[in-house]
Amino acid sequence: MATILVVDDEQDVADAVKLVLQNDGYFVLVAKDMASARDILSTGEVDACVLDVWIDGDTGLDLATEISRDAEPVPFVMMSGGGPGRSLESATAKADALGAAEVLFKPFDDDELLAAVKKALGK
Amino acid sequence: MTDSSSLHDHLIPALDAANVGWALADRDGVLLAASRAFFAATGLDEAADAGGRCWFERDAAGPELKAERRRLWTEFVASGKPWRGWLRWQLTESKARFFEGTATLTGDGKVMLVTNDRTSEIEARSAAKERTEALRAILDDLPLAVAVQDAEGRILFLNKYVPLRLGLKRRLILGKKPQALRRLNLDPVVYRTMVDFLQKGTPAGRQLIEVTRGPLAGTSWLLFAKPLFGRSGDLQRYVTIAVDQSATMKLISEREAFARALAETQKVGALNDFAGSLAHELSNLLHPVGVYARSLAKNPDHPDRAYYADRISAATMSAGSLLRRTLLMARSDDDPPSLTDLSELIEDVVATAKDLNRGSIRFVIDLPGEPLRALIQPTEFRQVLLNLLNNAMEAQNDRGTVTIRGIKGAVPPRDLPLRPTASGHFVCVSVIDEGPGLDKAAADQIFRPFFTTKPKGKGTGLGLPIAQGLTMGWGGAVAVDTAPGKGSTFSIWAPQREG
Repeated sequence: MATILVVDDEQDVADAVKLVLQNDGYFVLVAKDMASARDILSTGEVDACVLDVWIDGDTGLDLATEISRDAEPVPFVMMSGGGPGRSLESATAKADALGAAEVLFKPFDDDELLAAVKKALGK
Repeated sequence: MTDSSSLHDHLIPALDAANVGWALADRDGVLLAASRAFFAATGLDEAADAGGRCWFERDAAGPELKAERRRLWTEFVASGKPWRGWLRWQLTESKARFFEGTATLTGDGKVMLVTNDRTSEIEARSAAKERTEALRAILDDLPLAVAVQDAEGRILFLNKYVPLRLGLKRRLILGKKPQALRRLNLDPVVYRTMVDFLQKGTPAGRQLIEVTRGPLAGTSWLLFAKPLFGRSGDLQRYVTIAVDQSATMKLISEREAFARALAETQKVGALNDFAGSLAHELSNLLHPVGVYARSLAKNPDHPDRAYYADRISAATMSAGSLLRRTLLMARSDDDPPSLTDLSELIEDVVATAKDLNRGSIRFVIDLPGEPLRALIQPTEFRQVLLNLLNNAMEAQNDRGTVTIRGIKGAVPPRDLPLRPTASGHFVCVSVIDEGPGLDKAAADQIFRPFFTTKPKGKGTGLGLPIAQGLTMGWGGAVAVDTAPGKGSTFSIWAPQREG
């Protein structure tokens, strides 16, 4: 059973994503800010991440950049719901460049999420 | 009654005292007698008047002038008719005197000469002429058009700039009335303005004209007219000066266009921010709704179905509240900005804030004691200031002092992130709090929609963006000066106008 880290500062979104992944049999951890996300990642227990692009002023893309620099990067899926001055194209382009398995735009379908996570784990 | 010898006794000294000299000569021009004034003016020596030399050949004049005098003298003596004319007398080669004089043949065949020394008058006239020429030379070099007219409006002088810029020959309108400008094929409006301006009835003044047609199309001119009066107060001359203001006017219009473009860019930037932020908020509300709804559809008897339904309902209500707040940002153009004294408004809003004061906040109002007139929309100003006061009260947990300061004649610093688009001076109304202050990252984002430093559920993140949007609508701006531990000063920059 794979361990998935969900990083989103919005509790409701994190809960909903967690619910879908749990129902599909994954073990899900949730981080609401960058610091706790880094802590959890440093344990080496995470098989894949689902990152929000906009996390309370910080950006999930920064975390994705850090992950992509690791020797063995944890595969990740980006979620985006927009943000001030942020176009969908710019977020997608940047996530692709950092090696995101998939970019999902909220609200997205449960199957889209599961397919994206499966794709990330297969990488 | 006096006899002729007594008249002679009085007349001679009187003539000597005046500039008038007299001399008696024979027909060959040899002086027989002359007055002191005559000798003094001509520089001839009474004692040395010997040898029978002709008087008019005894100055420093050249041979040509002397020959001419000889010809005139011979002609006069032969004709027997009185002569009247001018005599240029060369004292030295470079120094001359000018006499106006008469010559008459007496009964006994002698010549009576009377000379009137007019040298100072001639010299003054020639000096005036030189000054006029020098002035003309200066006026010709000036990069502006100068016209001088007489009291009837006839154009007496035009400097070189006029033919240079208008491409007309000066002689076409010199000596003519302003209507002669018709030849210039000017813009009709400009022609009428110029004629009105140049004609009597515009005794003095200044006027800006913009030329849209004719050879000067696209140029702007500032006209000045100045009447010159004589000693007795009668109008003698007009001086009209036209200065090409095209470059200045172009600069002004470019600056206005730039300000408009800047305002437009700022609006687009604000709209981009707003759209992104709204999308972010809504997508975060909608996504869980989808998850719970699908879960309920798949399994209507799910043990958590009541919880899912609650979440869906709560998210819907949050979305509704978000949309209502968003609508507050949409301004109405029904009430245009009006000239308002902010001092009264400030006192009024602070009174309202005192009513809302739940704790022990003290308000200090610091105003200059004179009206702070600005072009603003009063209801909106009230909303903006009340928002800032509310933020201040919350930032210092309803304790301590909040200072409200108003100054006029303020100039916004160059490094304001959002520059006011109005020009001129500003009234700056500041709300100074004793709260914790903000770090740079927070200060940079504080005007972004949905950004809030308040605990979740407390701030809407729309108060300051709305305040900023309303203030921008009057050509002003809201700015913050803050640092952690130093409190925050929020300033409303409102375009200052005098009544």
